[in-house]
Amino acid sequence: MKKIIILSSLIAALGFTGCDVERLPYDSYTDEKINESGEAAVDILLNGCYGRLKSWSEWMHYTGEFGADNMMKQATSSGASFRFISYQHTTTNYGVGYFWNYAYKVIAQSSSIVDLIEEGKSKELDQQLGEAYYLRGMLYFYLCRAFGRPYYQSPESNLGVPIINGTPEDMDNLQLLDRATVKETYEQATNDLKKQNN
Amino acid sequence: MMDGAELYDYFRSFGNQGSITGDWYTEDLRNRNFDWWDNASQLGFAQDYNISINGGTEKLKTYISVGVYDENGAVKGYDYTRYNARLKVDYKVNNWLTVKPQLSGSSKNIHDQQHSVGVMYSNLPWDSPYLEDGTMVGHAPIPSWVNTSSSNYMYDLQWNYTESEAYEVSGGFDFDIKFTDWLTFSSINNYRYSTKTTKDYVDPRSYSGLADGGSIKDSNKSYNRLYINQLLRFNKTFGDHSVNGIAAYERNEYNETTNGALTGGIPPEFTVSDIAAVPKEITGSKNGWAVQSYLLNVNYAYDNRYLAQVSFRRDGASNFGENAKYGNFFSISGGWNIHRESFFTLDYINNLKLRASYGSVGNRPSELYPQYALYSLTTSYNEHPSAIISQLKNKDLTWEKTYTTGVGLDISLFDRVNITLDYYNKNTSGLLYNVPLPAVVGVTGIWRNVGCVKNNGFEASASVDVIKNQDLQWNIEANIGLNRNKVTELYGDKQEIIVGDGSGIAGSAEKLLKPGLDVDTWYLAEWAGVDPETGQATWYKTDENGERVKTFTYAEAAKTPIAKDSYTPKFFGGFSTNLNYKNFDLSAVFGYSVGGKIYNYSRLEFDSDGAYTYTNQMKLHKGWNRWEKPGDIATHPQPLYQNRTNSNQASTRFLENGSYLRLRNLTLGYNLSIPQWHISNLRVFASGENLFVLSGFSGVDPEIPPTSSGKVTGVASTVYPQTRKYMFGLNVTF
Repeated sequence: MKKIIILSSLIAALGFTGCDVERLPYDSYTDEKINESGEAAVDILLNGCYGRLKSWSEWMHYTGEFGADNMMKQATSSGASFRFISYQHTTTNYGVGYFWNYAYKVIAQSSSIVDLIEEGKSKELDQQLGEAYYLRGMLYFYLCRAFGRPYYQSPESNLGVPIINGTPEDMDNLQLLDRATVKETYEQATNDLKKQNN
Repeated sequence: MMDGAELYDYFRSFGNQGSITGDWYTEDLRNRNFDWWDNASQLGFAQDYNISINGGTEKLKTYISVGVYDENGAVKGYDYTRYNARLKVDYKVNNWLTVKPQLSGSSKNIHDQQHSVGVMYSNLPWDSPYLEDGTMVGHAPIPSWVNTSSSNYMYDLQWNYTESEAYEVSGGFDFDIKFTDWLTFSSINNYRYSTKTTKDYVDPRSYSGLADGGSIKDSNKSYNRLYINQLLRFNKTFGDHSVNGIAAYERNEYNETTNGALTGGIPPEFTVSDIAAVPKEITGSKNGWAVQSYLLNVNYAYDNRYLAQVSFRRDGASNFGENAKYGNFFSISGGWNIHRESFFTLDYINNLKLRASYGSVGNRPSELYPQYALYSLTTSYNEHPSAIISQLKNKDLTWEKTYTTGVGLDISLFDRVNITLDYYNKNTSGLLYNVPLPAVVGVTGIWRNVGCVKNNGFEASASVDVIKNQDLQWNIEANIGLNRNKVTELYGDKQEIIVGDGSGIAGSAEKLLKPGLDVDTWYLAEWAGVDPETGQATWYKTDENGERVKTFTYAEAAKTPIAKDSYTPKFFGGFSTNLNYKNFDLSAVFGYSVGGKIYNYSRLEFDSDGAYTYTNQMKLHKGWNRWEKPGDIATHPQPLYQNRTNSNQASTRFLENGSYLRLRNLTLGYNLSIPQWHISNLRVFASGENLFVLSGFSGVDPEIPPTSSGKVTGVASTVYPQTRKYMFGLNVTF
């Protein structure tokens, strides 16, 4: 009898402990936490855009400047900057990758900030909304300059970059737009920049 | 690597002598020869002592062991010391309760002031760490060095070091409750705590300490791990039937915290942060995971002729999505001891058993939190907290499942020969994979269960007792394994995926995942050899008509790479032999692997045809030759000073045969007993590890060690040299 009591209490103890296998990261916001924080998170998200802009700008400059005569790199290397300086524009150059990826990361995040803020609620929030629009417009401008032809050469037919304002909801059936024309990309950029001014 | 004279002759062979400027380039270089390899390596020395005491009564059994291990590495400046102790008690309290407490602890100390392994390969033999008067040279540019871009690592090594202390203690309280003679409850409860402190000391006199006035970095990492397993065991025999099984609940938890502080501005040789003038960086992190399982397993045997087993388990883990945390797995298997059948009359067959099984197992991702939508907070913006989108949500992320079918046969003949044959077929589906996404959505990947991989293979092993005498015994064993794997399905409408080679080195190789191909298939620009007329490197590219044609331009070839060969060997295995004569014993263990292709990344730097002029170069390997004049059929193009032809860039040129035969171990021992000293057995032995390797591979070792994250890549880069070990040992049993 004693043994049965011990056993059943052990099994009961199992029933209590055997449930929780959930763990959350300590160094990241989850989307739920951001939604809970609402406007309090806007400032931190906007800082995130600026922070990423710093690492983006390094590669944005390398992409253009290494190919020109303003910068020099000594000796050979297997790194990305050597590819720029020797005009080896391979598809696997991670330097171009950073330029593209970080720009769209900031575009995606500034778009979610735009969605998060209701216009006209407070002066401070409007300021942050303006900053988000500005960042997005500026990045489309730089992307189009690097990956598209100049505006004065038939902007209606030459291709700019895809206009994807924010992370799509349904990742399972992902349908993305093709590259917009140079003209459309500049319109997106100028609209964002004008919006920011209001 | 080359010595001073060889390197000079190599420089003399450059086709563009006029481009080599500087007054260092003289015949005198032939006489400048500093051996960086010799300078940094030594005869390592390791000592290992263990004492264990085992004994007790029917009611109380104890096991105690203590040990010390000390090793000085084969590369100078690394000292490792470990102490460990363990106590286990098995106490039968009464006829139904047994308790098994145990306690173990260890300490590990590392003093790391190790010479640079990379520099052993790369530094020029023309450059010496000392001036003629014996003073040590320091920071780049060093006037006496040809390589003006590199510093002398030995200068900082005079003072700078890393030191770590790790302590681990593990306690367990296991017990068994016996209900009846066929039912027992077993409880396994174990808790482990480990802490490791590391100090990085940078002296203010060293060049790396100049900017901060010296620095101290203290970091601490501690973790605890809980493991519990509660099992009901039953075991019953009635007539010719016997049944045993378990029902269990198992839980595994891991929690880890780290913190660190970096301070700067210290007087030389003071090593605590309190005296530092400037606080520089504080870090801290916390991580954890948890897994729990419910499982059932039943074994059944009839007359020891027919065997059957079924099991079921349900596992839940913290790294899966909320809709799919749990996975169900099962297995069934059967065995038939044919030699026990009454109709079986071949008496030279001692044992003949047929086995078959089918079942599934699950695999967890390497990431701790791959299922959540995340905004990373780890990079700040100008001293303000900031979050940036880093991961997308997948609520359905679940276990990767592998279904294995296996059949096997065990045969014993003439009391001398044992043969085991196995065939298996493994299908893995729902692979955990960070599926690449177009970066325009804000992130470059999402964790999903995608694709299928199929493995099938055959394994055979045989052991023969050639001589079985009172005084002389000789045994030979051999085994062989063949494994074929291929990707059978990708995801969506994907036809192929190009992935990195896993080495994490920029400019290294790539691999191609494509249905029908081996999962480790290389994907590289195709090398077309050296043009006999010009001595230039050529590659193949695909032209407008879809045909493969030669090109002198690497970038064009790199746009149309090919899938060729893989790191997976055609077959692999080992063989060994044991010879005992009276009190002497001799054993040898060999290992081999045939047919895998290694990508030798190191050659990009060390066989660079002149592209890397500040790095020492490999001597031409057996079978290689260099183009010198029109008409030469050569493996290596004409070298050029600061070669910009890209002949050393990633291509199939650096794929090499990774086949090898290695003598892993050779041991000679002598046993005796000395009853008058109460020594029941005394064993003296000498053994050698890694005594020889036969291989055509031009790199250091055709057995590529996994990366620090445990990935098997098949990419050879600068590695710690394989060491040949000799051991002398003494075992005494009282």
